[in-house]
Amino acid sequence: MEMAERLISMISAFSFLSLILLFGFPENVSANTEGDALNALRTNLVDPNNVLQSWDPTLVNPCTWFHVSCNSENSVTRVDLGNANLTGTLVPQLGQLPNLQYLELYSNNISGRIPEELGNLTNLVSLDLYLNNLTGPIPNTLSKLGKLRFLRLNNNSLSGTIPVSLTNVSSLQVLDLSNNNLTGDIPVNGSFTLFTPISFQNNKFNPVPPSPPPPLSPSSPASSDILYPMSSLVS
Amino acid sequence: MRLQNPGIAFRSMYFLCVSLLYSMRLFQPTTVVLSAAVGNETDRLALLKFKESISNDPNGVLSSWNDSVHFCGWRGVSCSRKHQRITTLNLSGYNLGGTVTPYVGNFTFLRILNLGSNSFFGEIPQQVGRLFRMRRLNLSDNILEGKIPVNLSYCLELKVFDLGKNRLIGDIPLELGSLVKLEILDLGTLRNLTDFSIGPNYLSGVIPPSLYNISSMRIFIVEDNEFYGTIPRNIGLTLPNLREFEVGVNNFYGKIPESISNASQLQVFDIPNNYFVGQVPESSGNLPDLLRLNLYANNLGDYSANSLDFIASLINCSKLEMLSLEGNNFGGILPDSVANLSTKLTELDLGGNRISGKIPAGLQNLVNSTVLSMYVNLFTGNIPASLGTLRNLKILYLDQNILSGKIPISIGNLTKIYQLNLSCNKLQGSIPPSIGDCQNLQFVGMSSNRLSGAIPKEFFGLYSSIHLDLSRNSLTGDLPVEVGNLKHISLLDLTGNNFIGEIPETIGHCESMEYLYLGGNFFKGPLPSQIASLKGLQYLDVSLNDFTGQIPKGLAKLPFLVYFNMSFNDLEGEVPSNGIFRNTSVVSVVGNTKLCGGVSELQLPGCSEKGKISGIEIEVEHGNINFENPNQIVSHLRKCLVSVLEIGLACSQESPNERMSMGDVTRELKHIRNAYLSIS
Repeated sequence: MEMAERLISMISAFSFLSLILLFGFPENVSANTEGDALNALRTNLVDPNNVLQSWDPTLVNPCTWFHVSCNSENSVTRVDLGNANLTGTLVPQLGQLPNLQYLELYSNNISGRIPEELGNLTNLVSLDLYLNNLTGPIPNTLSKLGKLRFLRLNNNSLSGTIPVSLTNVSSLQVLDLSNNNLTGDIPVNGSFTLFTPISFQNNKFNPVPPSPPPPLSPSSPASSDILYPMSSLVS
Repeated sequence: MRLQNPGIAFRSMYFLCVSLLYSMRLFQPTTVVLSAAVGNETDRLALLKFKESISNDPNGVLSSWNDSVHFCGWRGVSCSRKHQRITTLNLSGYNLGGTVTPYVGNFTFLRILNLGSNSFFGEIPQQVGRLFRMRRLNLSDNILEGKIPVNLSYCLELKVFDLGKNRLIGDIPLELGSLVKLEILDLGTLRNLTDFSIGPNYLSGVIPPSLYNISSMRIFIVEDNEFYGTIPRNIGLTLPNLREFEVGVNNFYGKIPESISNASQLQVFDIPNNYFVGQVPESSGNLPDLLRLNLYANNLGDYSANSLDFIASLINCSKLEMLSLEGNNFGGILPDSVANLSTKLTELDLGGNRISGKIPAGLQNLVNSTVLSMYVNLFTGNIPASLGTLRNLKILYLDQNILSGKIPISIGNLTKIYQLNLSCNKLQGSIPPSIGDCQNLQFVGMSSNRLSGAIPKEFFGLYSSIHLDLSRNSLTGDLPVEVGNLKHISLLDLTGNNFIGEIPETIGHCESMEYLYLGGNFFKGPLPSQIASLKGLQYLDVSLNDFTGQIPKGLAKLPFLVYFNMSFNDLEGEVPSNGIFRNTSVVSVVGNTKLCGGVSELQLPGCSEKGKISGIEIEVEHGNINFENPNQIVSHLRKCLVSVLEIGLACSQESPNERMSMGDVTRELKHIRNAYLSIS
C-alpha cells in the first residue's frame, strides 16, 4: 500500500537523520556563565594530577573551585594553574571572564594556539602562558587589554610577528617573548621603549641594524689614525 | 445469513471499539482530535512560528528547518510513529536567542520540551498549559522573565519541571481553601512530579504545602530565590522518595524536621544561607545514601555544649562526601567521633562557629580530605602532627583560633596543599624547613602568631607563591637573597617582626610584586635601587626600620605605585618631586631627620648642591695665619665673616625646626673665634 510504503520510507529517513544528529555533531556547551567558560577549558585539558577535580559545573558559580579566585560579587578574578602538569589546549571561552585579572597557566605542556578571544578580557592585569608548547601567532587582539601589566609568553613555539598594536598598551611593564620562533621587527616605540633585548632573545627577529658610527671631530686626523683607524669606529 | 469470515468481522469490531475508546480518552475540552494530516500541519506551522521567534542562531541549528525535509527530521524534533505528531522538541545548549512562541501550545502531543541552556528571553507563554501530555519541561538556564504561567498546573502528566536559572518573578501563592482561582499558580496538581526545579530565580512567597504532598517527588530545588517559611514537620513522610533537597539562599527559618530521615533515599540535603535554628536531628544518621549535608550560614546550634553530638550519628552515612556546618552557632567541643566519618569525606567545613577543645588527631582517618576548614573558632592545643598524613589536602584553614605549640614538621607531607592559613593563633617556635616540600603552596598566611627564629631558606623555594604573609610574629634573621626566586609573588608581608640586615638586591627579581610590606622591623642599610625594578608595585611600606641612605630615584617612575610609607627610618638626601612623590597624602616621610627637598607640602628643608641639607653645617677652616701675607689676611677675614654670616642665615630659616639652637650658635661662635681670631 502506498501509505505503508510512505510510512516506512519516512521512518527510515528519520532514523537515518537522527543517527547523523546523534553522532555527526559534537555536543554544544552553552556558555552563559563563567563556570561554563572554565568548564570548557577543563574539557580541553588533560589533567593527570587531578588539579581540576573540584571543577564541578553544576555548582552555582565556580568560586569554590580550587585554583579559582573570585571577587565579592562571585565573579572570577584569578585562575592559578601554573606548574600543574596540564596538557591539551586553550579555549575561546576563556574570553568570557569579564573580571579576570590574573590568568596563570605557565609551566605546563599546553599546546595549540593562543585564542584571540583573550583580547576580550578587558580587566586582565597579568597573562602568563610561558613555558608551554603554544604555537601560532601572538593575537593582535591582545592590544585591547588596556590594563595589562605583565605579558610573559616566553619559552613556547610562537611564530609570526609581534603585533605592532601591542605598543599601544601603555600599562605594559613586564614583557617576555624570549625563546620562541617569532620573526619580523621588534617594535621600539610606545610601551616597548621600556624593554631591553632580554625580552626578545632567542627568536628569529630581523637583526637590529647597527647604529651609525658617531661623526669624526672637525680637527684633522692624526696620521697614526689614518694608518691605524681606531677599532671603535668600525662597526 | 452466515458471515463468510467471522474472524475478520470480529477483528474489525474490536478495532472499531478500541479506536472509539481511544478517541474518547483523548477527548479534552480544550483540544479536538483531528486527523493526522491536519495535526501534522499544525505542528509544522507551529515549528515555523517557533523558528520565526528565534532572533539569534549562532550555530545554525535551525537551518535544517525547511521544507526540503519533513519536519519530523528537523534538528531537535522527534515525532510519534503513529500520528507523526511532535513528541520531543529538544534544542538544549545551542545558544539560541529569542522568545518562546505561544504557538508551542499547538504541540499537543508533545511529551518533552527542552529548551534549556540557551538565551531565551521574555515570558513563558501561558499556552504551555495546553501541553497536557507533557512529561518533561525544561526551560532552565535561560533569561526568561515574568511569572510562571498558572496554566502549567494543567499539565498533569508532568514529571520533570525545570525552570531553574532564569529571571522569573512573582509568588507561588497559597491555595485559598478549596477554591482554586485560575490566576493562582497551584502546582500541587502535578501529582506525577519527580523533578521540580525553580532555582535560581527571583521568586518569592511561601512554598505551597501541596507541593510537599507530591509523594513521587525525588528532586526538589528552590534554591536562590526569596521564598520564606518553614519546612513542614512531616516532610520525610510526605516526600518519602526525596533524593535531592536544595532550598539554599532563601529566607527559610524554623527547625530541620526530624522526619527528614524517613526520606531514606536522601542523597543531598542542601540548605545554606537561610535562617534555620535549633539542633541537627540525630536521625540524620539514618540516611545511608547521604552524600552531601550542607548547612552553611544558618543559625543552627544555639552555641550549646552538645550541639555537635549529632556527628556521632553521621558515622553511619558511609557515602558522605561533604559536610558543612560553617557559619552557624555550633558550640561545645568537636567530638572524637568526627574521626569515624566516612573515608569518602573530601570536604569538612566547621569554620565560623564557637567550637572549642582540641583538634582531634583522629582527623587523620579522613584520608580523602581535600578541604579542612576550621577557621574562626575556639580551638586550643596543638595542631596535631597527624594532619600531615592527609596527603590529598589542598586547603587547610586553621586561622583565628587559640592554637598553640609548634607548626608540626609533618606539614611538609602536604604536597598538594595550595592554601594554608594559620594566622591569628598563639603558635610558637620556628617555621619548619619541611614547608619547602609543599611545592604547590600559593597562598600562605601565618601572621599574628608568636613564631620565632629565621624564615627557613626553603620558604623561598616555593616557586608558586603568590601571597606570603608572615606579619606580626617574632621572626628574626635576614631576608635571604633567595627571595628573588619568587617570580610570582604578588604580596609579601613581613611587617612587625624582628628581621635584621639589609634588603638583598635580588628583591628586584620578584617582578610580579604588587604589595611589599617590610615595616616594623630592624632592617638596615640602604633601600636597594632594584626595588624600582618591581614594575607592578602598588604598595610599599618600609616604615619603622633603620634604613639609611637615599631614596631610590627610580621609585618615582613606578607607574602603579599608590602608597609609599618610609616614615621613622634614618633616610637622608633628596626626596624626589615627581611620580608618587607629588601626592603627600600617600607618601609618608615623618621621622627621617636628614631628608630634604621634595614638594613643599612635605615641609622638608631645602637641599644644597650636594643634595644634603644646607644651612646647618658650618664648614670652618683652620690653619696657621701668616700675617706677613696681606692676601692671606684678606682671605682669612673673608672666611671668618662668611662663617659668621652662615650662622646668621641658619638662625633665620623659615621653619623653627630648621633654625640653629642657641647652644649650637654659642658653640660655633666660640669655634670661629678660636679658629680665626686667636693669635698663635
